Amino acid sequence: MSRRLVAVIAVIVILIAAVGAGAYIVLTAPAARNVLVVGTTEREETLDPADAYNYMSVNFLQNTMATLLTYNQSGDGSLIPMLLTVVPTTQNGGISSDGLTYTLHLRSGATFEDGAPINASTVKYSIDRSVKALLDNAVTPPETRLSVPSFLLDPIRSAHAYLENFTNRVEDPANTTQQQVDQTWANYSTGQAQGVEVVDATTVKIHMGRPWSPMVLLLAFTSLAPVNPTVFKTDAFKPLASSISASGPYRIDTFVSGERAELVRNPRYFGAPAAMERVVIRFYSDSSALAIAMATGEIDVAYRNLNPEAYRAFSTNTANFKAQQGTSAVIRYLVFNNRTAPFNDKRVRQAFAYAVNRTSIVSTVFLDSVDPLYSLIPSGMFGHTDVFKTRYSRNIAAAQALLTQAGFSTTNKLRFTLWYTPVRYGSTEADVATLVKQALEQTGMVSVTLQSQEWLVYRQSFRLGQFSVFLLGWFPDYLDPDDYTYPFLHYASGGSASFGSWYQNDSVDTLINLQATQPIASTQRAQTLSQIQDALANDVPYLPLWQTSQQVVYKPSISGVILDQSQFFRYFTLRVS
Amino acid sequence: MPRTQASLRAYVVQRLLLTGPMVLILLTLVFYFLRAAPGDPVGAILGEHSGPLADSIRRQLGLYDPLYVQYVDYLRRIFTGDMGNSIITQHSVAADIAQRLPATIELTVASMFVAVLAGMLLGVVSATRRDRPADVISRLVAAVLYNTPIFWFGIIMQLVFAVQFRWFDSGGRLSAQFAIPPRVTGLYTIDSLVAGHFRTFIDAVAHLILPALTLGLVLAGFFARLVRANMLQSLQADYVEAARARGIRPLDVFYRHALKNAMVPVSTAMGLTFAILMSGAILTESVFSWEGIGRYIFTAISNRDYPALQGAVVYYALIMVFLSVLIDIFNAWIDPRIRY
Repeated sequence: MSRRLVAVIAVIVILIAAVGAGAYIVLTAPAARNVLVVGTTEREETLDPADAYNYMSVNFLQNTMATLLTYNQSGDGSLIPMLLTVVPTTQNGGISSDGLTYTLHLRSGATFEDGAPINASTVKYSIDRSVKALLDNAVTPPETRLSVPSFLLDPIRSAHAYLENFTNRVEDPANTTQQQVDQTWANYSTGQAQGVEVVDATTVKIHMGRPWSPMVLLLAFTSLAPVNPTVFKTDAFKPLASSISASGPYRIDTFVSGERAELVRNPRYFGAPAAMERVVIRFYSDSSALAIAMATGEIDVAYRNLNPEAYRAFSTNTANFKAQQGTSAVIRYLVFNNRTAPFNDKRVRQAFAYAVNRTSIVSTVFLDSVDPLYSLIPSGMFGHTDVFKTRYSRNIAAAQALLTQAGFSTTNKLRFTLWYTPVRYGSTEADVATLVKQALEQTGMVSVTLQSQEWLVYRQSFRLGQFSVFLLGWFPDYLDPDDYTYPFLHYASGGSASFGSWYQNDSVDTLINLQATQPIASTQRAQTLSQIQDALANDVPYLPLWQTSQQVVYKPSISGVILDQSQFFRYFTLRVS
Repeated sequence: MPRTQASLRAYVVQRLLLTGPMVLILLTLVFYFLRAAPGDPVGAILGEHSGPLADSIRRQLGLYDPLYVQYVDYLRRIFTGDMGNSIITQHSVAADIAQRLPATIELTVASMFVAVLAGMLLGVVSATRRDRPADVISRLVAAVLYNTPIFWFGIIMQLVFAVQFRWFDSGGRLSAQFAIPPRVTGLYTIDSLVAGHFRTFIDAVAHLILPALTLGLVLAGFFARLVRANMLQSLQADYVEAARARGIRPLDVFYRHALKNAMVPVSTAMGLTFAILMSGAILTESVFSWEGIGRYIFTAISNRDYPALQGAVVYYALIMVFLSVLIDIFNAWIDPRIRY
């Protein structure tokens, strides 16, 4: 009897508790928020503009930090002012006629998230910091210092001497004293020949060590974005995920690395407010996880990186998805170590240029979602010429003839290892390597072994000259032919060595120096670039293969997706209708 | 009874006292093996490359100090929680692990719950109905589960329950529509309750279901076989026979005599599995985009992030020691014969 009573009471209590809890849930729960969700497989490495050099790091900063200039939203790749009032040109006096002084006029009233003003001294502080902080912090050796974008600022007056001394000090402390480093730093930052000069509260002058016309494009790059001095100190990189004191359309509200980032409209932003109050970026572990998330509708936008099959599937399902493909300035190519036999023989490299089969890579691996590339300067960019197309249509006989001249035959085959890295460029890389191998082996005089290494080891290996032939890709720093020639082909600056090619052609060095001083879109410059590309096709230090595209898939209710050559994916234009 | 309790207490104290030396031995082994392995951290960072730079970095890292100095320094740093900075994230390794630990704990606890429940159920059903259809079916299910590749199973779960039925999200720990609850423990299920965000709690639980089922069911296959084998063994034991002869109800014989004794090896295996899961279930975490320790270790390995790897190994060693103590105490509690 009493047992039964206890049981009844217990049931009643549980029921009341359940109903109460249910009511409480319904009445008090915060409603699901109205957010726009973007999924990606990319990862950020840092949120410090002075350190940001990988895609996602830069992308977060582009959406949260105001840069001096930015790219036009119409997608034609032209520059428009952001923190500046006008794009500096020779005509408006922003660039001096000798190309050595850039005068920047800042808009007034721009502030960071905390209300701190963005003025001339903030700009100087930030550029100086980008030249300095990073290398000082680099305990890591030069080979792994790839992520530090300060070398881009090398053309600024007195920066070169400082950077050189600093690097020497790190590499060989016995031969460069700290005083020398400090002295060159003082010269750069405060000396008579300082790099960045504050003229008045809204005017800054950047003095160049040498004329370098791509400088204007660098003004749109995040490493020159002004940072809040109270948040970003000079002596260290700002650690990840902490508050970055935004100045752009969004500020970072939540950041859980590898899981999600939440961007919220920045009320202090001086420009047009972001379309959505809140955008959530979710990180997926791989392309197939991203594709599944898009298929379930958990995310509104899938950007970087769907694999070609998934993209094709979404693009045929037009009722439920919109698929958009845009140009990209990312190029892929084969690198030859021009110092090691037999690839120090130009004929061998030319033979490969005849034998390689770009169309099979493009159609088999990428289902025609990328375009074959016939120069290092991507198609669509100023100065591009299809040099490899004109000079080398696929011709096995011609390849065989050149290989024979170089001393190879069907019995004495050219044997080498083709290296690739399996993750960095996506899951398609092994297939690409296989197709390159097949195409080359069709000559009957070549035997290729495929091998792969993880990226961090890979990049050390090729920089140390351990690879003869390997696959590589280039994500541009600034959208100018200079960024596709100077780092690749310039020998004196160590550019070609940094790619593991050690290509040396003094006349090409001269031409590259020349084009950097010519007005940015002039016929003279186009001519110089054309000469450089002719030399490229003749010497074949690299073999351009294809130019990637960027792809985005989104729900039909989403608008405001902009894909342009700048690779600047804007969250603040996205909108749910 | 009081005597048994006293001896259990003595055992526990002894066991805990032994933990100190055990940790020290483990840490020493980690120290030794990481240094005995070919190549040092600088070699790993720089490749096969020496010169003044490598020299200066080695000096900075103290690699030229006598081994005992390095050893003392290593222990001091571990006990102060300083495991160095990850090369990839540039964060302290301890902070990196702490940030990802809650995700791993959540997944581990949920999948162990599934694994133990399903494994025990299948195992007991099998053992009590030996060679009858129920046993054959249970064994078949267990064998299939045990041999299922986990990433494949995970993707199938996603395709069926996320893509087809839309019951659950395919991955992540929380829908984007819900804010991450204020961090107390880092476990979204608990933090959301603490904050009183019940819908967030339900969403967090819903996100746990697919990964926990995937991992839990595969483990359940293993546990079921283990439970069955041990149950069969203890059902044939003399004390079970004796219990039956005394006329104890069959159910009581099963659960109080046979099952409890069969649990010693089973709980050891479960505890160790738990410990292994605490170092991350790499495949499950990858399929469900679950940012836990497993993915951290995976990235550390593929990028030769030496400090992160060393930190993870130390962390793993400590977890193993801690959990094996718990397992031993648990076993001593269920089996009075286990005493020193």
